[in-house]
Amino acid sequence: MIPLILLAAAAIVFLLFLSSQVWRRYSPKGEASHAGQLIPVDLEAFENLTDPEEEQFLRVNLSPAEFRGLQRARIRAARMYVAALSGNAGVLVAVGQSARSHADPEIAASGQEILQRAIRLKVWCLLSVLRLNSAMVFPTVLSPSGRIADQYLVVTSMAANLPRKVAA
Amino acid sequence: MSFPLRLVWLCLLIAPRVLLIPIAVVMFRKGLQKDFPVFFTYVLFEILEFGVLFTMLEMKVPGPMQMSVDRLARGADVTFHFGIIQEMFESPFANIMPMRRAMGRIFSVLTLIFIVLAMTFIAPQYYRIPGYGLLKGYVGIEALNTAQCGLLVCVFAWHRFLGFRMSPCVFGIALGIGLVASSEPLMVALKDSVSAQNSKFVDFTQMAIFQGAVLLWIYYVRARETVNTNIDAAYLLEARDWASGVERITRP
Repeated sequence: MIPLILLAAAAIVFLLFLSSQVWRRYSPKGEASHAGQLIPVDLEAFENLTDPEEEQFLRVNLSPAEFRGLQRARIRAARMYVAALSGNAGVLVAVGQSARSHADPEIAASGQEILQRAIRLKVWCLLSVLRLNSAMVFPTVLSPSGRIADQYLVVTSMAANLPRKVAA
Repeated sequence: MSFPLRLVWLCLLIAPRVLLIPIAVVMFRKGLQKDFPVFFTYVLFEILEFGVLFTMLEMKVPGPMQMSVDRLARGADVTFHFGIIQEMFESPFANIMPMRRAMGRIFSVLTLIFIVLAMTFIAPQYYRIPGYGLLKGYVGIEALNTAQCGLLVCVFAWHRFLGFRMSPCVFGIALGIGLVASSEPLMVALKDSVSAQNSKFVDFTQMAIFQGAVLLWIYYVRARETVNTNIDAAYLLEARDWASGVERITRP
C-alpha cells in the first residue's frame, strides 16, 4: 500500500509540475523571463584565462601547490565568463525565435540562423562548464584551455556576424 | 453494467479515438507530420489499435487472447511515447542534424537511467502485492510510464535551459503524454484502494484522462504560434552593440 501511495504522490507532484508549466507559459512574468538582458563580457580577459601558453608559464614558474590554487581561481573566473556567455546565448535564442517568425523572409532566414548558432553556443557553454568543473577537481591534470578556446573563437565570430546579417 | 453506464463507457472509449482522426488531418494539412513523424504515426496507430481491440471485444474473442493483444498494444503505446518524448527533446535542433544525433544519444542514456531507476523502485514493490495475478505483466509498463514522467521533466528543463520557447504543438503533445503517463500509476493506486465493484469508475476516470489528453492535442495542434515581435528591434540593437565590442577585441 505504501509504495502505491508514494507512486500516486509522485504522479500528483508531476501533475502539479505540468500545471506550473501551463501557468508559466501563459503568465506575462513567465514570458518576460525568456527575454533577459545581454551581459557585457570581456572576452579578452576570458581568452587570457583559457590561454594554454599562460597556463604553461604559470605551471613552470610556480610551485605545484601555488599552481593548483591559482589555477582553481582562474577556472572559477572562467566559469563565471562561460555562465555570462550562456546567458547571452539564451537571449539570442529568444531573439532568433522571434526573428524567424518575421514576415520578411530574409529576416526570418537570419532569425533561423541566429537561433541555430545560439543553440549550438548554449550547448557548447554547457559542455564547457562541465569541463571546467572537472578541471576544478583536477587542476593539474585537466586543462580548461584547448577546446574551450576554440569554442570561444566560434562564439566571437558568431556574435560578430549576427547583427550584420539582420541589419542588411 | 447498467445501460447508462455502458453508454458512458462507450462514449469514453470511442470519442477520443474518433477525435484522433481530426488531429491526424490537421497535422497533415499543416505539414506537421514532417516535424513530428513519431507522434503522427502514434495517432494513426491509436486509431488502428482501437479498431482491432473494439472488434475483438464486440466479437467476444476469448479473454486471454484479448488480454495478450491489449498487452502488446500497450507495449507499442509505451514505445511510441518514448519516441515522441525523444522527438520533443530534439525539437530545438530540428535543422542541426549533427547536434540532433548527439542529443539522440544523450536521450538514450537518460532513458536508460530513468527506466533502471523506475524498475528498481517499482518492480519489487508491485510483486509484493498479494493477488496481483494476471496484472503482474503490466508492472514493466507501469515502470516505463513512470520513467516517461521523469523524461518529460527533462524535456521541459532542457527547453528552459536553452531559452527555447516550446512550439504550441510540442507543448500540447508534452502535456497530453504527461497526463496519460502520470495517470497510470495514479489509477493503479486508486484501484488498489477501492472495492472491485467500484474499480470500473477508476477505469472511467482513466479513459476520461485520455479524452482530456486528446482534447489538449487537438487544441495545441490547431493553435498558431504567437511570437512577441516587440523584442526584436531592441534586442538586436543590443546584440549589435555587444557584437561590435567583440569585433573590437578579436580584430584590434
